[in-house]
Amino acid sequence: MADDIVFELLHSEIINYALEPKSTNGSKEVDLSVVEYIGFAAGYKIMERLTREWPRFKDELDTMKFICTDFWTCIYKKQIDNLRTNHQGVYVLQDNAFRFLTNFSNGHQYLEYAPRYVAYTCGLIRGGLANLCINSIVTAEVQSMPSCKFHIHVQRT
Amino acid sequence: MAVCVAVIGKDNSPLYIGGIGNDTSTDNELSRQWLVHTALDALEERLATTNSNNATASANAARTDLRDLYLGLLYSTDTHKIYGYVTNTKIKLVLVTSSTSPSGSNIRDAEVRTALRRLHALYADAICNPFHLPGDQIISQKFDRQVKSLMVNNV
Amino acid sequence: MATQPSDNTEFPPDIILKPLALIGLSGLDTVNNAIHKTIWDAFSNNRRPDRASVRFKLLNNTFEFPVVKPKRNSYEWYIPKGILKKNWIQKRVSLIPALVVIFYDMEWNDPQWNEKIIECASRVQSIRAAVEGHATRVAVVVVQSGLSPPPSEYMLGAERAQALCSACEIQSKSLFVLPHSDHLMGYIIRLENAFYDIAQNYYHHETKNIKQHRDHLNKTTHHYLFVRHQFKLGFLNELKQDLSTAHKHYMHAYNNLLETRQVDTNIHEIRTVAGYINYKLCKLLFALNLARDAIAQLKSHIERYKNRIGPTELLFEHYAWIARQYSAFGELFDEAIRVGLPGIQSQHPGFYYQHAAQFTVKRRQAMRSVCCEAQQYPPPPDPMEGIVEFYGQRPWRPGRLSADPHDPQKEQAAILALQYNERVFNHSAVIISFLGSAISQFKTFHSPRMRKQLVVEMANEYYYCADYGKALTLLSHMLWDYRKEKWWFLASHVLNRALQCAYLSAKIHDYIQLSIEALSKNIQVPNNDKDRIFRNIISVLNLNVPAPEHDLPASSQGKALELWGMAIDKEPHIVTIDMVNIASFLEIKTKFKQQKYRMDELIEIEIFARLTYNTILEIKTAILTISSNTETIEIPITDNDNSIIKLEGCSVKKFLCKFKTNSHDNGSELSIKNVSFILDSDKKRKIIMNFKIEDNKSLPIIHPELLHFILSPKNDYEFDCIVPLTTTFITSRECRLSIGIDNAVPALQGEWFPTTFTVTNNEDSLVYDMTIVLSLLSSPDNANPETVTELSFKQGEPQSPPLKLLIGNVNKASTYSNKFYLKTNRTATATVQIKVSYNIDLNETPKLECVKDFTTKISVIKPFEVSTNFVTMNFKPVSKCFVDDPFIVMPQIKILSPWDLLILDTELETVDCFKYADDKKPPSCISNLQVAEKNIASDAICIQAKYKPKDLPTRVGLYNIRWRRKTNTDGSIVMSSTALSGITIDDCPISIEVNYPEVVDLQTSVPLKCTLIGNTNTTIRLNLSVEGTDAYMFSGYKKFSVTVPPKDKVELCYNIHPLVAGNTVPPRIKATVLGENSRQEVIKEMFEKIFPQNIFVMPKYNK
Repeated sequence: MADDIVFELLHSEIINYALEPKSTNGSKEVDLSVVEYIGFAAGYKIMERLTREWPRFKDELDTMKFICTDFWTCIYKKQIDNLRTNHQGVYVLQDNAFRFLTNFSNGHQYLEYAPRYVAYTCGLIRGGLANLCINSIVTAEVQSMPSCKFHIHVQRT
Repeated sequence: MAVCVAVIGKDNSPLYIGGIGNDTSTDNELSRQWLVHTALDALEERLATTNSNNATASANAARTDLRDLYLGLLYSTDTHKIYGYVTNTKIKLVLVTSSTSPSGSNIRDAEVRTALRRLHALYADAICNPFHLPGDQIISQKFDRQVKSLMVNNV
Repeated sequence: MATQPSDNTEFPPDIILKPLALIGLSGLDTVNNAIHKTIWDAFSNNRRPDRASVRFKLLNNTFEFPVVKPKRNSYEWYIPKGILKKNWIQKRVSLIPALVVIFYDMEWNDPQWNEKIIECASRVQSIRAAVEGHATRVAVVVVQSGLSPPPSEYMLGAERAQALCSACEIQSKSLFVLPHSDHLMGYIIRLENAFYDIAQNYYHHETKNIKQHRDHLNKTTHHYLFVRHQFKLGFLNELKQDLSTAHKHYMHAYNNLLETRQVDTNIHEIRTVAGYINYKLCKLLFALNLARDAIAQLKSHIERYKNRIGPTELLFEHYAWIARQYSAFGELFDEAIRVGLPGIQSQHPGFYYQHAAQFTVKRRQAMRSVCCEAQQYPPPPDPMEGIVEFYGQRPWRPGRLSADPHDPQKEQAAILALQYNERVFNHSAVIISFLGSAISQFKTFHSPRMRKQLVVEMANEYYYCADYGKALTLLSHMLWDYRKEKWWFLASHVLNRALQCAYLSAKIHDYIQLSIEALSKNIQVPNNDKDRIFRNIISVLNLNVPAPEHDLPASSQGKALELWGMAIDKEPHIVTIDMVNIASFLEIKTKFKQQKYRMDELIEIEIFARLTYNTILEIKTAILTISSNTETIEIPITDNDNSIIKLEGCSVKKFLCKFKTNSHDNGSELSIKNVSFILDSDKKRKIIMNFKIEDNKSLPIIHPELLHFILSPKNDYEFDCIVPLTTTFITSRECRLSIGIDNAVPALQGEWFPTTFTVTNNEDSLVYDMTIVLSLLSSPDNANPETVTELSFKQGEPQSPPLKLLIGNVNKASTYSNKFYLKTNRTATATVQIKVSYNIDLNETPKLECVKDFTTKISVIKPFEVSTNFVTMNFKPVSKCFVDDPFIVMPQIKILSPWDLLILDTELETVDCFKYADDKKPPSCISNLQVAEKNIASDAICIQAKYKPKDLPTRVGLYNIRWRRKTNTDGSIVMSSTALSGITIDDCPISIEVNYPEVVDLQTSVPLKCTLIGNTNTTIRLNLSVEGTDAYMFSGYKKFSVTVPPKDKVELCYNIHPLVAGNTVPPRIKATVLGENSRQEVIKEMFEKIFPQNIFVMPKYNK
């Protein structure tokens, strides 16, 4: 669908934009924090809307299930394929065909650039959870594209 | 008719308090603030019991009423009825009706529920305002107008 | 519960107290008679709730019962003067007993029985006479010693009890016997219950009497009587403890009262009585566990009466009455909760106290509107004097039923008197008391915010009665909470009032703090007049009296000016404000520029100050406080070296503080503790604004991530986005020394292993005071290295770690070298830390201490492995030896060391049950043997068992090897010990010696001599047989018996003649023991062992 591709194109251009060498900072290191922040803000704000029709979450796991189903469907038009947890605040969400990766690789080509295309989504998850009062660290792991695993470590205080 | 509608943040700070009536009077505003602020006691109590019920009777998880975002009538005073609603993001919505006016005293629970759900929708839109920082007071005039109209027309 | 100040709305005790059936006790002399005293105490003391609801009253001889009114036959012409007589309840609860009990000491077998019975009867008669007209019951208790059996089993007793009843004209069920024996309390309880039954019966009878009156009443003139009679019925049923019937009658009374025509003259009476009846109703409903009904009753009660205002001149009385209804209900509710009723957040006594307070406020408002004329109490005669017979009636017109005041002048004076009394009444005290009760209830029932609101109301009340100190204290506490939850509108409300209080009481510290907070952008002040507040701060700083706040009570202003005049140049001269805990117009954030600094680096701290109030603030002094482990230092904050700092409103200013570390801060943490901005006018007063910096201050609620893309106002968010960094770590300067390690790893277990280290000075100058410390570090495979490893600077002499070397100066580009030895008994990696510390003079810092840690890992292996074999004297492997039968131990040393070794000597230290087979210790077979990796050196030592020990020895002995590295000619010699495994020992009753040769020549006869030696004290008889083979011919006995004598020997002689060459089985003797079978196996084994399985026969060499 055309509207979906616009989202994907915007996403990839934002990444290109964020990676442009800044004149003030000549370092070659890839700084994706801005992309992650964009994701965070979007996740935070959209969560209010997405949980409107959802009954009060029973617990953390219930919240994660929501992330895997409705939240993911709303953004990526598909559900997370596999959710695992150690019941101590670590959740692993596996998407076998992650939308931002499906378009350009099916295997190991461009694998080294994969981190660029998961930063936004990590922020999205983290921001969404932050608005649900769950502070977390979200990392992603890509071994073979287009499959992607998101690790959520809930920070307890 | 709702006389007051409030949006309270995660940290219990007031994000928006809107009232209909003699708006400019400080006394009016003060009593409105007292009313909404003290309603937080009831809201917190209600949430606490909801949570503990959930924890103890997990077998009984199908009790959807405990998981309803709309908490219903929190309490009533001689002059007002106070209704509560808590979103999944721990934003608290409070709606106050007047027991003395005919439109306020005869209000049906379903109407209040609808009004609070609409308020939730308005809030969800309001935080997408790029000029609004979540957690700050809502100063959007559009939001204010929408809420006021909700108070007048729909409840 | 706080006691409320009294006013005329309070309920009389008669209404409040629970009615108890009254029982009079007569004939008890509690003063002179110890037994009577015990009996009375048993009745009257310790009246717990589980005992019967009765009240005992001791009647003395002079007690007089109320006079009985003449019985009315018709009510036709009777017009009641009021509703409830004030003295009726009093009569019922303390003057007219339901039952009088006459106590009389008398034994059934009393010798003076006749006199006694007459005296008792006369006492009964006198009581009867006294209660004449009342239906009070009479009972007799005969107090006895308790020795005689009960009348039922005792003819005389039964007869005399009967006689007593008839003499006293009482029924037998009204006669009781009380033995004052061991079980007095049990008897007393039984008596008490019996009395209670009689009393209930009496009250029931009384209610019937009242009900009879009803037929005579008519609704036109006797409306009051309907109320009165129903009330009495209610009360009597309460006395009877029939609560639901009591409630029914009170309800009738209440409803009858509602129907009564109400005019201005009787409104007060109706209201008062209605209040009492309602109180009774609610109390009974709570007692009946019908809390909801009680609440509903109160609600409808208030609803019904709230519009019956009465005369407007006395409007305040109406509100006072409502307030009292609420507070009394609150007390009932509270009481019910205390005895077990569960309260909930939405329904508890606090609400009723709150209403009481609110209506007292209305009462005061009413007073203000209607009592302004009442400046003086009316002149005598005092209209308030006079006796009132009925509840709620006015003293100046008692018993009047007519609607019009009969004396307008008197009426006027009375109203003036009431109004004057109301004017001087302390409403605030009542309101504060009601609020106090409500506050504690809201606290109990999880309503902290409601509680806070009430505390603020209470503070306002203190303000109205000019107790500014108390008001200020309360408000300061509440301000804290509203600030914390960011309810700035409410916080502003509280703060403005608190500021008024601080001004009016001239409390300089509070006044300054509140003023500073008032300037915060979050706080709204009246008329938005922050400039005045700012000027006031500056005034106080300059020892000038500040301008007054808005809307102050005129009466207090003069006093306030006076207070300020006295206080303005007095203490406190230094006003210290804790800025972190208030919202203020000045905010500070601090940040170390780096998370870590080296000793030779300059530490930089950024300080950001945001002034949110639009002014220019001149800071005379600003100080940053830093602390390390050892000290706290203060650093002045300057604005480009200008010590006076000017802050501009609505902007953020950044300051930079730089300083050097102190030499002893190496390795420690530095933290920012405080920032002080000081306002000073060069007069005596200073205002110190302290910003205490706390570690790990809770994170801001707003996620910093969200701030990244917010557009405006940039200024604020930039400040908000600064993440403070308040601690930093000081590390030592990078050290420019290098180290070289020279050793021949791996080290061998047990040897003193030498390592040479060389430290080279690569610094640009001389280093001095150099120290080297050696220590062992633990590693995963070697957790406690110091228990198994030794370090030393001298070979063979362990030193206790850490090893320290003081070296002194090392010139630029020169080296220092030394050698240490390590000995370890474990095959693991030993990690040695070499810590070099020294001083160096640098340009910016003289005598800078530097430290560098080097580590070197030394792996340790075994030099060799030792295994053991056991063989017989003819080198056949064995797994068992016999006492006194020599055998050979063969240790095998497998060399593992990659380095060539020299085995200097070996020895076997046997355990006790073994000895060398030779008389003295044999020399080692492998002394001075040079070995290389993978060589195996075999030793052999001949030993024999001395005796058979009880338990199998776990080892033969310790095998000691003395060795060294081949190259290490000057080094010390290492001795390694290995335990050699044990061997089974057995003993045999005989020994056998046989001279079988290893090798024989073909076709050559060999003489064989076999000696059997008896080892025991008994003879042993053996059946011997020679097992011949085809390879040999032999001569001698083939089958025979022999007796081996004790401690002696038998010799057997044979000749064998080999017939074939090669490996052969020679003829072997086998033995069976005759008689003693237990030794059969051992002897058989012995023969098996001694006689060879195999002999090699040399072929004849044909020339």
